[in-house]
Amino acid sequence: MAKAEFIGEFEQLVLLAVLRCGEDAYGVSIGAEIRRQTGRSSSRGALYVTLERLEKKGYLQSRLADSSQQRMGRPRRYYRLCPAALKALRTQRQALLSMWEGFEEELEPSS
Amino acid sequence: MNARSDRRPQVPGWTEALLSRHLPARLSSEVLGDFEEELLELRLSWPARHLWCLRQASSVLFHSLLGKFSSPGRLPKRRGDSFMNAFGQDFRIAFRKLARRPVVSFLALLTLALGIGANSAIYSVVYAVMLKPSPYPNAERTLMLGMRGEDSSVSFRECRQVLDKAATLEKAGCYSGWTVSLSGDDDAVLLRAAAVYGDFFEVLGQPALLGRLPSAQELERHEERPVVISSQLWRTRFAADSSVIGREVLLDGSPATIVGVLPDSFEIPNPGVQAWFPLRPFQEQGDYRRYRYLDVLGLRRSETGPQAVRQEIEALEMGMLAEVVDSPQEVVDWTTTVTPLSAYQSAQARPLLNALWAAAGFVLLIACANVANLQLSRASARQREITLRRALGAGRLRLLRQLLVENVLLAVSGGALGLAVAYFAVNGLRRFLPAETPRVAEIALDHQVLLFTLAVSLAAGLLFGLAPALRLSRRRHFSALGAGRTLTADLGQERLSRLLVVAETALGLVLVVGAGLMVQTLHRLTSVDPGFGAQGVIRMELSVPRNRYPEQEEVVRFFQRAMEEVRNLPQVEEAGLVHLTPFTGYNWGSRLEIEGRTFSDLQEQPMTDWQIADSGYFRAMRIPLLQGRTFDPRDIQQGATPVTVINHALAQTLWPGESALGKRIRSGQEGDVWVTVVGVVGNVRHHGLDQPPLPEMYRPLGQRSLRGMHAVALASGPLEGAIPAIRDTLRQLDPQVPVSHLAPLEEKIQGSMRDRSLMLGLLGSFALLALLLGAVGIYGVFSDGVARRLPELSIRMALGASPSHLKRRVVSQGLRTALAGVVLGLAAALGLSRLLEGHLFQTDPHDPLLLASLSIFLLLVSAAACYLPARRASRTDPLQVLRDV
Repeated sequence: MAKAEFIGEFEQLVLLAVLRCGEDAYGVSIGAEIRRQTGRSSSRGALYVTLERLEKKGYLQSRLADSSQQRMGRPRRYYRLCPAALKALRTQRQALLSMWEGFEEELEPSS
Repeated sequence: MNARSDRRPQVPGWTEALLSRHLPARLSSEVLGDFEEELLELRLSWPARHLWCLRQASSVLFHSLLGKFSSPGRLPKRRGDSFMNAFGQDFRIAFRKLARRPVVSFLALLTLALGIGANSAIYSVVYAVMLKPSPYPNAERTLMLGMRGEDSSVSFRECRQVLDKAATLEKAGCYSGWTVSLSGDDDAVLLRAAAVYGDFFEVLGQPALLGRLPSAQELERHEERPVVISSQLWRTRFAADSSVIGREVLLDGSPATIVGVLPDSFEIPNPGVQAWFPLRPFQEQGDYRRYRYLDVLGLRRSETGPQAVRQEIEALEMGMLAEVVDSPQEVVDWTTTVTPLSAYQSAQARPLLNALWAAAGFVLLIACANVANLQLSRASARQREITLRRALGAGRLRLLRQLLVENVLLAVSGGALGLAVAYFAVNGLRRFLPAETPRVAEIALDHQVLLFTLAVSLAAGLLFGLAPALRLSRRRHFSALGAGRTLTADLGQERLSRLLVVAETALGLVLVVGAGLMVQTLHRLTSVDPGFGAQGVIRMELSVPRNRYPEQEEVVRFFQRAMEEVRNLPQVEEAGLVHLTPFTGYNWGSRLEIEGRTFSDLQEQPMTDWQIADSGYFRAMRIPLLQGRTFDPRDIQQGATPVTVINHALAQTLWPGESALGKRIRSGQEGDVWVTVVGVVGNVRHHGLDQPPLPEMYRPLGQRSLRGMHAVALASGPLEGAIPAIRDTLRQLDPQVPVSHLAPLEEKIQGSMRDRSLMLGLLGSFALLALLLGAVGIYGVFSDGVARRLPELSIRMALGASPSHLKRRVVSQGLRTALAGVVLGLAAALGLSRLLEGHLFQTDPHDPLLLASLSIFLLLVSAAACYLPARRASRTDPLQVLRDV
C-alpha cells in the first residue's frame, strides 16, 4: 500500500466524491457529485485521468459491473476507496486545519 | 456482453470511432458507456448533442495526448482475499477494538465469565451424574424391578419367582442394604454393605478389579461366606495389598472369606457401599407380603423391551397374590414398576439438578442481555466508523461477519475465564452435594464440559451480538458522517435496549422468587418441632458380634452394662438405646393386628413403625410421656407380660377417643406375640422434619433385642468433652464391639436439610448475581438514554422544567420498564414453580404476600439503579449542553 503522500486538490475532491457516492461511485455519479458540492463542473478528461492515477497509487479500487441497455451494453466502472486513501485525506485535512487555526473569523463569509 | 438494443445510440458514430482508436480499450469502453448514460439523461437535441460530445471528447483526448494515460498497467495488488486471511484480519481488528475500550470490555468479560462459568459447573455435575453412560457393561439392559405400593421392596418369595420363571429376563438377582461389622485383624468397624442373591453380579456385568465375583451357586452355599469388598475399603483397610484375596475376616462375628474387590465405580445399591455378602433370607411364614425388604434387578433379553418385562412380572405377581387373596384383581394399591438402571440411580438427584440448571440458564441469559445492551450503547459511537467502512467498500455481509467475530471473540474469552470460575464452583459443589448422589467422584471439567463451554460461548456470542450487529450494519445515509449529533435519539435502539431490560428483570424476578421460597422453606423447617430434644444429645451405632456374644441374653446384658457405664460418666446425664434413631432415613415397618378386630385383607391392616428401646432412651431424648409408663426392670424378668409403648399417632389411629392402655396388638415383626400397651409417648418425626410423624411402637430391650442398635447420650456439659469419654468407656468395655458414627444428633438433623440448604445456597447466589447484573444493566441503559437525551432534556429545563421533575421522569420511566419485567417475571415464576415443588415445605409457591414483597424489592432496586442517571440529568447545565450540540 502506498504511504500517505500529499495529494493534490483535485485528487482530494475526487476521493471525497467517491466517498460520498458510496456504492454508486462511477464516472457519471462522481462527476455529478463534484459538480453538486463545488458548484463547478470538472474537466472530464481530468476526471478520468485522476481516477486512473489514484487507482495506480493504490487509493482507489475499481470493478466492472452493471452493463445495461442504457449504456449500449457497456458495463460501468465502479470505484471505491482504499484504507490508504482515508489516511491520506485525514493527514491532508489535519494539515489544513492547523494552518487555519486562529483565523476562523477571517474564514467567515461576509454577511 | 448484453445484446445491443434496437434503439439508436446517443453517442454519434464519429465520437465512438475517435475514442476507440485513440484511447486504451478499457478506458474507451468506460468513457463511451458514461457518455451514453449522460446523454440519455440530458435529452439533447441533435446539434446540442454533437456539441456536447465534441467538448467532452476533446477534453478526454487532450489529456490522452498529454500522455497521461498509460496502458492498462498493474494495479496495486490487494492482499489475498482468501477466507482464512479475511478471518485473520477480522480477528485482529476485533482484538484491537476490544483492547481499545478496556473498562467496557472487562465488564463484559466478567459478566460473561460468571454466566458461562455457572453453566459449565452445573453441566459438569449434570453430565457426570445423569447423562454419562453408565459404567456397568450391561447397563443398557439392566432394570430395577419394584412394586409401588406401601413400599417398593419385594419379599424373598417374589424374588425367587422372578429368578425361576421370568422368561423375558436373561438373568436376575436381588439385594438388600445392610450395615455389618467387619473385624478380624484390626479394629472392628461398621460398614454400609449389601446382602446379595442370585445373579446379582452377572446382571451388572462389572468384572472384579481383583479376584473374582461369587456366582449364584456360591452365594447359596451355607458353609462358607464369600464376601466382595469395595476398592475404597481395600485401600483404606487392607493397604491395597493383593494378598487380601482369600483372607478370612469376621462379618458380624461370623467367618467370611474375601474373594474379590470391585472398582470404585460400582455403586449398587448406593454410593458408599463397601461390601457385598451372601443373603440369608428371613423365614417367611404366612403372607409373604409381610416380609418385604429386597430389591430386584434383572438383565432383560436384547430382543424384549422393558414393557414386556413389566407385563410378565405383573402376571407373576398376580399369580402369587391369587394364592393368598381371594380376588387379586381388587387389590389396587400396587403397581409393578420397571426402571432402567441409569434413571433409577439419578432419580433422587434429578429434580435438584434440573432446578439448578434452569437457574444457571437464567443467569446466562441475563448476562447476555447485559452484554447486548453494552454493545448497543456503543452503537452510536460506532456508527460513523461503520459507515466509513461501508464507504470503503465493505459489503454488509462482510461487516456483519466482522462484528459477529468481535462478539464471538468476546464470548469465547468470557467462556475461557468462565472455565476458571467453573473450576472453583465445581470443587465447592462436589463437597455440598447430597451423599446419595451417584458418581460424584466422576465430576470433573473433562472434555465434555469443555465442548459444552465452547458451544455455550459461541451461542452466547451470537445471541448478544446478532441484534446489535444487524442494526449497526444497516445502511445509513451519509449525514452520519458529518460532525455533530442529532437532537433526537435513535428510537429503534432504545426500544431494543428497553426490551432487553424487561427480559432481564423478568428473569431476575424468577430467580429471586425461587430463592425467597427456599428461604421460607428452610425457615419453616427449622421451626418444626421434631418431637424430641436434640440439643446436647450424642448418638452412636453399636453392633455386637456373634462370636463373642452368641446368645441373645448376652447381647442384652452387654447393652445394659454399656449404658450403665456411659450413664455413670460425669459428662453424661442420661443414656439409652433404640434400634434406629430419628433421621436415620428409614425404619422397620410392619402391619398390625388388633385384638378384637378383624380385617378382610392384609392391605387394610394399619401399618406401624416398629422399634426396640429402653426407658433411658425416652429420658435421654426428652420424649414426653403422655399416658401410662415407659419400661421398667419388671418387663425383662422371666415370664413377664410382653408389653409395648406406642406413640400418640398410633394411639389415635387405632383407638381414637379412647385410652390405649391395656389394649393388645400383634405386629408382623413378631407374628406370634400379642403385646399389651402400657404407655403412650409423644410423636417423634423419625423420617424427617418435613414428614409427618408416623405411628410407632416400641418393644423393650430384653423382651426383644437386635445385635445392631443405636444409642443416645444426653451430655451434661459440652459435647466435645463427652464424646471421647463415651468412646473410651465403650472401648474399655469391649474393644471388639465396634462403635461408629459417634456424633451429635443435631448434625443428623442438619444433614437432613442439606439438600435444601444446597438449593438455597445456589439459588441465592444466582439470584444475587442476577440482581447485581440486572442493576448494572439497568443503570447502563438508562445512563446511556439520559446521555443521549441530554439536549432534549436541557431544552426542557431551559423552558422551565424543574430538575426534580426531570428526575422523576427518568425514574418513572425506569420503573415502568421494570414493572413490565416484573409482571412478565411473575407469570414465569408462577409457571415454573413446579420445578421447586419437591423441595418446598409449608410454603405456597403462589403465596401473594411473598410474591408482592419480592416484586416491590425488585422495583426498588430498579428505581435505585436509574436514580443516579436521573440525578445526573437534573444536575446538568442546559446552556452548556446546548452549546455543545
